[in-house]
Amino acid sequence: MGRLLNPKVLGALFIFALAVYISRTYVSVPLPSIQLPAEPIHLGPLTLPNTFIATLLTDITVLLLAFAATRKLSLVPSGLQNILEMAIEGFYNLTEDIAGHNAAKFFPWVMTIFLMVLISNWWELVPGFDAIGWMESHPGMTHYETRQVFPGLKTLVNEGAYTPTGGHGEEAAEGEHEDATETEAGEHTEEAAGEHAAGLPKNEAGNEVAVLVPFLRAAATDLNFTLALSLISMFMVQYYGVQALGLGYFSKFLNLKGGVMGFFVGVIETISEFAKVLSFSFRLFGNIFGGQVLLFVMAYLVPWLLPVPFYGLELFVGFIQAFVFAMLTLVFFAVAVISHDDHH
Amino acid sequence: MEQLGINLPFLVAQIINFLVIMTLLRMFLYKPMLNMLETRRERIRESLSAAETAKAEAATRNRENEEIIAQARREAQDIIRQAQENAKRQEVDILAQARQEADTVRQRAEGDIAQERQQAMASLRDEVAQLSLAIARKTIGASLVNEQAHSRIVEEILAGGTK
Repeated sequence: MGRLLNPKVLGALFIFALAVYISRTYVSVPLPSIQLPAEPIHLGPLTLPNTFIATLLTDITVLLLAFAATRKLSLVPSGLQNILEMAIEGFYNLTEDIAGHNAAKFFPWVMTIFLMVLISNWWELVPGFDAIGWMESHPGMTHYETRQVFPGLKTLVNEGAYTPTGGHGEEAAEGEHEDATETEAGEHTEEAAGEHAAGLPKNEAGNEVAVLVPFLRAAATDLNFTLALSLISMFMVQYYGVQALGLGYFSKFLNLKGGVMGFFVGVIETISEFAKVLSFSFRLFGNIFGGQVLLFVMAYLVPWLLPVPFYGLELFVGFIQAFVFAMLTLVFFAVAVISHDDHH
Repeated sequence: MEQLGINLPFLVAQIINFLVIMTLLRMFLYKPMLNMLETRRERIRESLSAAETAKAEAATRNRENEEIIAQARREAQDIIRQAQENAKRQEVDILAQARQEADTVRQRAEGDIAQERQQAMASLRDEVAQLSLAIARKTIGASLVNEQAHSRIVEEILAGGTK
């Protein structure tokens, strides 16, 4: 009991209670309704999924990092060069440990997967992701009331939840919204373009309601991104297998020498090869999508303070998933180039 | 597939995107950086071996120096010992010579003294003989003419007197 009365503990509890109170009273973050497919964003004549925009952002980040780090390479590294060198050297040594003389061949694939997944995962944690976008209306989704911050800029509040039924047929298929939940401070302003705002429906209380379609959404929350990576990864596994062992590589899948048992094992190998594509893509997708939902819910429950530890967790998860994807790819590469018969 | 959001154009776009990024990274990041790492490794290896050589050289030189110093010390001690021995020997010599010289001086002095005493004795004897002759002449008068015989008698008396 004496422990609990410690001034530090009491202070922390008090601050937390205050944060809960203030954030429930003054900053209300609606719970976003979550959907699997990426939301399309209309940018003039172009319509791109927001996850693809995030992928392009990741590309730019990675390339900028690369250019900045290699702009003036010096034997005595400093700053960015040091960090990237550490990562690249570490990965290269790891690749050498696992793949031996094939390291130079495998390394670009593994390293690029790691960098792309890592950077795109960490982008998700930047305030503004999933928080800034168009106000739209999609029947069947939960709408929330809008508040005008200043002309042209609106924000959603956790009030007057309303689900319109009929309405805009064109938008009905791709209904979408997410929230300003990402910003710790609870500021969740969403731009609302005039044209979009014009067609917003009203709820029973007569207030304008909308769903938010964010401009940016973590790339790995789109199965296209994760599936593309896993397809590349598993295609290269087959490619290196054939390159190293010739057509004999396929004897792993169509095993006629090992009798009935061998044939059966070959069938299982074939299935597992396809299963790897699925497990690759759904592992990454599931982890990052789940993390995103976790952050949404935490910000909905208590917009202030509570999400902070989960940001730390997601930072870790983002790194681990990138590492796992890269390492599994590397291991599959390494296994593919080893002759199957050597094991017996 | 539609429900999962998988759509062929964007799947292909993602694949192409990845391949492009990988090519760019390979050109602008991996190659230069791995080359740099290799260069540095080479440089470090060279420096280490150079340092190793320098260290060995320094050790050799050190050993040589120590040997030289030790030899010098040994020589110095030899010189000091010799000097001390010489000094002692000279001391003994000087003392012996001095003693000898002193002996010589003393002997010479003793010889001189003895000679002088003999001379003195001889002259004294002569004097005494003359005196006693004069005394005898005075007392006896001119009776004794034979001067030579007289001297001989005195001589005999004196010689007998000394016996």
